[in-house]
Amino acid sequence: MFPVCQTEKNMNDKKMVYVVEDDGDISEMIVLLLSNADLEVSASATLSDFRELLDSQLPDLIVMDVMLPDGNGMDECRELKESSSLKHIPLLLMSAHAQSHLVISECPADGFIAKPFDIYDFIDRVKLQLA
Amino acid sequence: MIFEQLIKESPLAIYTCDANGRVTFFNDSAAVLWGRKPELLKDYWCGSWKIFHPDGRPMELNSCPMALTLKQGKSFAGEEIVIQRPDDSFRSLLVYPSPVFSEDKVLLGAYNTLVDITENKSGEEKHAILSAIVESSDDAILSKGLDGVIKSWNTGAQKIFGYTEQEMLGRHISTIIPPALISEEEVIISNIKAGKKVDHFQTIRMHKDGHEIDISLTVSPIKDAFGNITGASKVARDISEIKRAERMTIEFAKRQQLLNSIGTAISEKLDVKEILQRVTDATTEITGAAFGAFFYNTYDEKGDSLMLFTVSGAPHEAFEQFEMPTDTAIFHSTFSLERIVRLDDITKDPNYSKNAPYFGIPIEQLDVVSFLVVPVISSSGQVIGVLFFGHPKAGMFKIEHEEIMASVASQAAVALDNSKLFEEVRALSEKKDEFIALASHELKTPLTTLKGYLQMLQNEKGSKMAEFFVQKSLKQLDRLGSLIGDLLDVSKVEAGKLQFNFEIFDLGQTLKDILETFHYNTSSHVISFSGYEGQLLVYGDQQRIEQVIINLLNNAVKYSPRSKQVYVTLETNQDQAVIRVRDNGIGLSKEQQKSIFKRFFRAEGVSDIAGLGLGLYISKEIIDRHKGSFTIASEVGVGSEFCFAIPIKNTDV
Repeated sequence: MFPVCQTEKNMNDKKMVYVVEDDGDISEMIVLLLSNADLEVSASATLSDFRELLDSQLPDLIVMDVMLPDGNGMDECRELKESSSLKHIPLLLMSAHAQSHLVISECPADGFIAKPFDIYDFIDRVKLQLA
Repeated sequence: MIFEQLIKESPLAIYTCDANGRVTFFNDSAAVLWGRKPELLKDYWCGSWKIFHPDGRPMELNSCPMALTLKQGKSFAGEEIVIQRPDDSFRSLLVYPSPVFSEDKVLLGAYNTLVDITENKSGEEKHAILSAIVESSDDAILSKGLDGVIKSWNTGAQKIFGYTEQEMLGRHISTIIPPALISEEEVIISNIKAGKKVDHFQTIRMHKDGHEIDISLTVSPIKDAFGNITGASKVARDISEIKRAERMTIEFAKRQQLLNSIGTAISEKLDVKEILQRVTDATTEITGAAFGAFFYNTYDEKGDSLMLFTVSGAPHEAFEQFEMPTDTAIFHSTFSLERIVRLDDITKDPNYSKNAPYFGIPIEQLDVVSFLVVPVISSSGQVIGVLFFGHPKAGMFKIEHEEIMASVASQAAVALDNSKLFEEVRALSEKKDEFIALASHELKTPLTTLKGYLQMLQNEKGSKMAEFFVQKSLKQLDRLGSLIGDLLDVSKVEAGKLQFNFEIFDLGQTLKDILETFHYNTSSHVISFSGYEGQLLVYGDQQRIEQVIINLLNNAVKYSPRSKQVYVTLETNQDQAVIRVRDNGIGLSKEQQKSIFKRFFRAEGVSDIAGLGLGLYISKEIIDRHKGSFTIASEVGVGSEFCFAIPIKNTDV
């Protein structure tokens, strides 16, 4: 029933989303959700893993948690948005902690998703960034 | 004939008696003096109505001087008596009765001459009274010539100034005037010469032993019979006590002010450093010290001893060595002090050494002579701090300063103890807030996964029953989410950290959206809306206002289990948007209404209805922060209406 993650050649058809989330259960759920939405997904639990992924391939969208074991998503966002080669990649931050307007006012993220979220809202936000 | 006329018309009162004592003759002057005319040969001894001794004792008529003269044959040369006349007036008289004998020594009678001395008598009495007053007065009363030479000096003057009358008569008034004030005398004399009185002039004069006395002076000109001013009379009152009382009053007021400022320092929840600074500034001012310092021994977060200090009137650098924690010798010498030390001249103190800091104070850098050190002792009896004052002049600190400082030090100890407790409570409260923030984050994490899967499950085609169960589960999940949110909000309200994002938004549309969602999610109640429809721009935090409206709707549904109706209205007036949520539920008593906005408040008898008692507490805070108002009208068994109003966006916002 769920389409299996495509790792083969049809990348041109599918948009690539990098998910950075240290909670394995949430990460798994989001990967499933985005795959169901016909997107290619790569998940990493740490910022260092995420940066490795970035070195090999650039995604079409980044969905990133704020509190990560090796850094803060907001700081990472600021850095990415200062890089001329990466700043064009839309980035959505998510957190169970902060309030959206405070995150947006403090860093140049393209959007904020509060946890727990509504999956329809989540997919809408993702698609809006990919359009 | 001539003699007879002389006797009759003499201004002296004259009368005669025969040997038996009967009045045989009196002249007009005698009748005037007596105030009556005696009957000749019938009145005995005298024409007086009543007679007294000079000291006021009554005198028998037959023992009056004239009677004695006739009975004993002797004469009196000026015996004093007092007579009372029929009109009740008194006269003092000197009487001169003398017997008259025949050639063969037979008593023929006597004559008497009466001299009225009433006027002289009064003058003397007045003088005696005045003298007595002057002598017994506590005030200094003296007189001097225009040249300033002293002519009289009473006992009061001796008491106040220490000089005796003998010492001062003939000396110049400047003897008692402090050299710095000598010009005052010229001013006073020029006033006197102009015939002007100097009234209640407060100044300072000098005692024989050199100490200064606060006095109040009244100086009046003395005139001779022709009206020429010949000198001045001077009344000086010792007002040292009054002045001292005045100074005490000022000291007392200052002290009150100081204590108040310490009180304020506590109530304003200032940090320790600020309390120290205020106490230092206030005490330095009240002691008149050139500079003051407050050393406070406390502990840092790791429990290590830490010295804090504040300085008033001296450079902070002068005490910098106190920030070296290794210098324990200095530290210990300062905090071993258990009583107040006051030195008029520290350089004369045997313990004083130029090479080592005194009590840990680097005095050689600070030019200290007068020295006052006051320990600050906590309620547990520990010396927690030391107040130190210095002045470059000797003898600047007095015993009164010790008393005031002892009281201030105990106030400061209380303030610091309180501040320490307050810090501890605040630290605990911060830990609690941190915990709640962490807990809510951790609780939301599984909630996120759960909600995601449940919503995905909802998309799967399954039985009607399965869909129903999933829907129910999702609703409970949302409740769990909002409870966690409330807990976090409460902790933020407590910490004053509930953040708002104010912007202009359409309250009409917001309310419409909420009601639609609510209608979709609520099967038990019908929510009917009336009132203003269309765009209504307000200035506020949209998410927070939504939170309030949803809270009120949830409450209305929750607390009206037997009713099916909830009414929502939106109204506007000049500058406010008003939302009312009304139910026909269980209602609230007056008592309950008073407590309804308190944290964790749950109405009695609602234990079967779920809730933490946080919703209205948070809602009230949100509306308060919007500068809005929250009101409630309710009756038990009839229902409740909750109403809030927030400002409409003004064109100038």
